[in-house]
Amino acid sequence: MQSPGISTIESTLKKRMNMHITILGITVLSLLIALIINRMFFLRGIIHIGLGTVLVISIEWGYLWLKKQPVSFKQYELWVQPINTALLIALLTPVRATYTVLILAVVFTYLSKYIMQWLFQRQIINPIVLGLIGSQLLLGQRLNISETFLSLFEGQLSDFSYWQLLFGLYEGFSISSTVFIFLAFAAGYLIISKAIDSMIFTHTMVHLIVWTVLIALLTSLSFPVVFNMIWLGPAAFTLVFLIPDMPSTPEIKESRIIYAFLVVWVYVFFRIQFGLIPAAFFSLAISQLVMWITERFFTRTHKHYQKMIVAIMIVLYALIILRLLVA
Amino acid sequence: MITHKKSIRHPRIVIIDLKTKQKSNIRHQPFDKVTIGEPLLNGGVFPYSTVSGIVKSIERKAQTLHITIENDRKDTVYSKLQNFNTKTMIERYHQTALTLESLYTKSPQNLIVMSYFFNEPFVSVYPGFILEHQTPISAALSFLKTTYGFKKIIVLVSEHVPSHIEEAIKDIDSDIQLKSVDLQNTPHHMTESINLYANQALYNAQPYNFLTIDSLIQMAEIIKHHRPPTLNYVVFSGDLVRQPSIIEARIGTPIIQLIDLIGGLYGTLHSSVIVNEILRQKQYPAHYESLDRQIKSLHFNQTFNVDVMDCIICGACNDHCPVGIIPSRIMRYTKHGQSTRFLAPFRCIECGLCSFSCPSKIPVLDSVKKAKMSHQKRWL
Repeated sequence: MQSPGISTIESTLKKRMNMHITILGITVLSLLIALIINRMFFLRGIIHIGLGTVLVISIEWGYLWLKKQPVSFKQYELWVQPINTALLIALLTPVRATYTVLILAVVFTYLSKYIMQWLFQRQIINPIVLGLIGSQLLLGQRLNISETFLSLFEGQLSDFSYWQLLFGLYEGFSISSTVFIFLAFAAGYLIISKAIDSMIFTHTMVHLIVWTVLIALLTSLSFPVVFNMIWLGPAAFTLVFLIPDMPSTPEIKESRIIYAFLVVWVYVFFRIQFGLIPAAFFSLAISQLVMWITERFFTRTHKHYQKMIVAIMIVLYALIILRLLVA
Repeated sequence: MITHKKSIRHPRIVIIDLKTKQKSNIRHQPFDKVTIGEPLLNGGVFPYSTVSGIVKSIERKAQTLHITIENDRKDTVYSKLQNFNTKTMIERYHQTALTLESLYTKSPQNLIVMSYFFNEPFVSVYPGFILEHQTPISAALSFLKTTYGFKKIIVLVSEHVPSHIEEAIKDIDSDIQLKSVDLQNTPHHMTESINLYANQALYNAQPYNFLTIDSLIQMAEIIKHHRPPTLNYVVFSGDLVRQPSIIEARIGTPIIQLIDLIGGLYGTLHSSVIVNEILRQKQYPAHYESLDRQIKSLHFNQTFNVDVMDCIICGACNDHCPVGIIPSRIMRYTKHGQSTRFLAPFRCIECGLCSFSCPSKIPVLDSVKKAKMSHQKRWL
């Protein structure tokens, strides 16, 4: 009998590199689109990326220097994760936002990362999400970021077309978060290379699709409008890059199923109550926190539990449908 | 592909690591006579001599003292062992020899014996292995059944069991069953195969004990010859091995002699060698001068290089664990000195799939073993 080769197993380094390649690809495409739409956006996009990367590398370098660990810039693999963080922050920061927002996002990201590592020995919530929430909460009143997003979003709802749906609905560097075609390719590549958790991705997508269909069928809103409402902006982007990103996701299958369910339900609730950005980021942060707490009660894992959880979810959806039908 | 099975039951000399630095603890001097099972140190049964013969030398190697015994090939057993009954012998000599067994309940009703790998998912055992040892294993199984009251015993083997062998086993006892498991090369298939029986046992409220086949063979030696285990089974694999083989050898046989038996290596002896777990690099020969009781496999590879990275909490180990425990959390808790009892590490059957499936190449099994050892009581 032949022994299985170790090379068949995807290594962490490969996963990181694949994630890096994907994020780089999305960044380049976003820059190209920004260049076509508005040169100023392109320039600001470049500055965002540069500033974010420099900041992140400085913080990492400073941390290593304080810990008296050797720092080498020759090994690119060591800097892949920080650069990924910088690019994600840059991509999720609106191009109209001032540089203070970006700087604060990076600082909050690293602060929360180190604090969580110190207190809980793991990242219970994705630090990038915390960084973005922190920067927007602190400067939200002055910059009105959510309003900016909302105005862009609402202004273009009236002249909606499928062409726009595929290639993005609002201008700016953060256009990448709406270009579904690119995101679909990125998701496909990441799933094949096992860089993201395919189970979480699939479950989240299914829940989002179910909610889109449910709202479109049971309310007076048209399908494209509902699609915009649910998927637009950072929702699709986080679905690919943040929701199934491993260090902050649950570690057992049962809780991964519940996590995907929770993220979408909280997202839909927040989307109705608040706006796009709070919905995407708050739902992610809340779900990860809740899952970290509840996961501690799982002491073992089994297929029977997974089936039970899926059955409970189907019952919940059936109840929602009944409730909406009765209403 | 492992195609060879070899044996070296009577090496000219055996070298036993005494795991001590103090010469005053040693019971023997050069030219003293020793017998099989005779303790080599004061105050305990381990380590003991695995051959009968004359002490040739006591030397310091790799910071501990090693005793070299010249084999007289007579296999004389230590006289004091005659006073022990077989059950006492098993409990005394088997318990600390291996840590593979899991005790689910205080009164287990059933026993599962796994034969398809040596604690190493990447090193498959030669399929004919169990069949060749059918007679002593059957005797050992019958003994376990009557002595410890197992209601049912299932032996999992990695190929189709010929009907005549199955019938022969049934003749001994109808409650002892041989089941063939169709294994493929992926961790998922192995998980599924083990799941067939392990999960059934775990979740259908049928308490089971687990034994590995090599452990059972050592037990068979105790039962048949009424002496402590003297033989061990080691798998040689890797790119540098000329003939990937399973070797049955006397504990204490010099590793160089075993390498000669498999036709030597393609590279140098100091090339990358992984002992027991492919994911954990251990350099040879600093520690392993001779065949130890704990050595189950030696993987020789010149190019293989393991870069252990941080845990990314991907959950691969949890997904592949056939008994449904959560190795990633056990590892984290163990690392930070927290209690893991509620995570039931004692359920671990030490299959090694957690380490194998880890993308960060972390030896997860090590931490689970550590947690298990801290909670494990006497088995059986």
